[in-house]
Amino acid sequence: MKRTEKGRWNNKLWVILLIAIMTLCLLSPLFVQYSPTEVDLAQVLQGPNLHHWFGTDSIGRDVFSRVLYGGVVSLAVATVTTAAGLMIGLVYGGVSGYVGGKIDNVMMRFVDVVCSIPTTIIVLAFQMLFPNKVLGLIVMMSLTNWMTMARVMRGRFMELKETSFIILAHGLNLPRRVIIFRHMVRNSLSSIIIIATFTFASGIVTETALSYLGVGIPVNIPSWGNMISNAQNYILTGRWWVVLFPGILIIVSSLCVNFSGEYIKNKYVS
Amino acid sequence: MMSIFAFALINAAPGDPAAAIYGGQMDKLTQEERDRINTNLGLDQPVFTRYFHWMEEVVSGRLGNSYANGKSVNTILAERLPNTLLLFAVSFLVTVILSMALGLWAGLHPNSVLDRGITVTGIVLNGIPGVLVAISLIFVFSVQLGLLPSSGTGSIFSGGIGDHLRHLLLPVVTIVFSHVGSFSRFIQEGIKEEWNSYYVTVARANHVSRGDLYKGVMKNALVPFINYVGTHVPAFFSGFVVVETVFAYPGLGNMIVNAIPIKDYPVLMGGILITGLVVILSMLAVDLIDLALNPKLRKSVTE
Repeated sequence: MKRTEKGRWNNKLWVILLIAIMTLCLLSPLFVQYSPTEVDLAQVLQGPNLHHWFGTDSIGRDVFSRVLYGGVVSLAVATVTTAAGLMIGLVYGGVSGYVGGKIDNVMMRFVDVVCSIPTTIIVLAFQMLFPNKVLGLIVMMSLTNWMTMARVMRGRFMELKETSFIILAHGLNLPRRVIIFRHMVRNSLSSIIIIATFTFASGIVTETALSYLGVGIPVNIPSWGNMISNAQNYILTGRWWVVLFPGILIIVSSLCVNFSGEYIKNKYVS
Repeated sequence: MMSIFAFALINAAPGDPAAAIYGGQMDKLTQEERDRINTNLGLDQPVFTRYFHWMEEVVSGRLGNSYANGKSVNTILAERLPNTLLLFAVSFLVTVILSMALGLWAGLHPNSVLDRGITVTGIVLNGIPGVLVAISLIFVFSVQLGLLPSSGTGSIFSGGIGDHLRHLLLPVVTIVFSHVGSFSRFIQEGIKEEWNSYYVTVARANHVSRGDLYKGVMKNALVPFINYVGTHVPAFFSGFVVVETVFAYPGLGNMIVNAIPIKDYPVLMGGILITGLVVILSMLAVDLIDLALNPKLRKSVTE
């Protein structure tokens, strides 16, 4: 008993920490002293000090304000792609599960095919198509993160279709729109929220990986991913602060989202 | 399917192969010279003709030449593929064996330290991006301790197999790190579910020996695990792109990343095609193992 109480409290802590990070990033324009993109060649590669709390990078930009500003960019990318991916998955899985039969079979085979493509490679290759890298990243990430959602929604819809209250609703001649949105989607809400958190977490990780590889957010916009893109050079030359702070924030926020997801899952499922 | 995909997307991409060949000196080329390059490379023909031409070549085993250095793509792939396959084989086996050991132990000893630890560790390992794991490993083992190399592969001829393994160690650890958590959690939860199921209760009530029970439970928990492992094969290859780049490991992923900024299409297409092929073959292999071990599945196939 005591242990689960403690566990709940720990998990709540993660949610609070996540909200704190998000607020800090969003409010950063109010209190940072340096612009995240301002180059100051007199202050190149300064270690953390009173003026630059997290030090400066190789062209003298303030790491502290870049970390916070980059947080807005990275978290925004993760949010937008999660929302878009959820919508695709919801519609796709919903249709597949609701219609059923042969169409469902074909639709699910297609999901299998998409799942068997290594995501990073496809996003990498497709990124070349987009003149606008930010838009490209968002579109490509949304197109590769909806499969889990589609599978789960299909399962949920198939299950719900057989329940007595949905059959009754059909019998009462309720309009389909009402049945689908008011009853079926609403009853799947807990699954949707759980998948959303995990998609969000992997969104942060994917953005990091792709920007690190130089195909994500372009270098003129700071993001957590492209801040660590020269990490090896900085580390090998002992400039740890340039990498450490964005690294910590990536890990902490990703863990926050994962633990929050776990918390929500345990709360709803069991 | 994969081939049309690879070809279509790369042809739609903007960029001039002439740029790949002449790099910075591109501005000096006249229109006439550009046309000549395009004709030489067959780029003046319509897309469909080129696709079928390319497919014909692919089927007969020729993937064309790199725009960047004129080497045949076959040669480049032949250099790269063994490295990636080695990385895949080692990291995949280590991940599976390690997570089986951890997951089984944790599942069979509920409420032990490992059992409770694995749930949390699993979430933590899963949440840390591979890039950061790799960078931290470089920091600790290459910079601070100076024990292991931070990039490349050793040459088998000069350094011997030992050197090669030393270069392989950090990339493998990175990959294992990012998968072992979720894998062992899957087994652990599977074991627990089996252990609480009805047939185990009945067997225990009838004094079936503990050893026999463990054996049955393990077998039943491992069957879904094989399937789970199979679905993660593409994720391994996604991870290789990142890991190979961080460690400058000369594999397929690194090759693809390097080919993108210089728009070296033949290399890119070859790389994507061969990766797709390897992924599909690996998934097929996992499916066959599943078929061999799972009587239920075997029945549904043969009937």
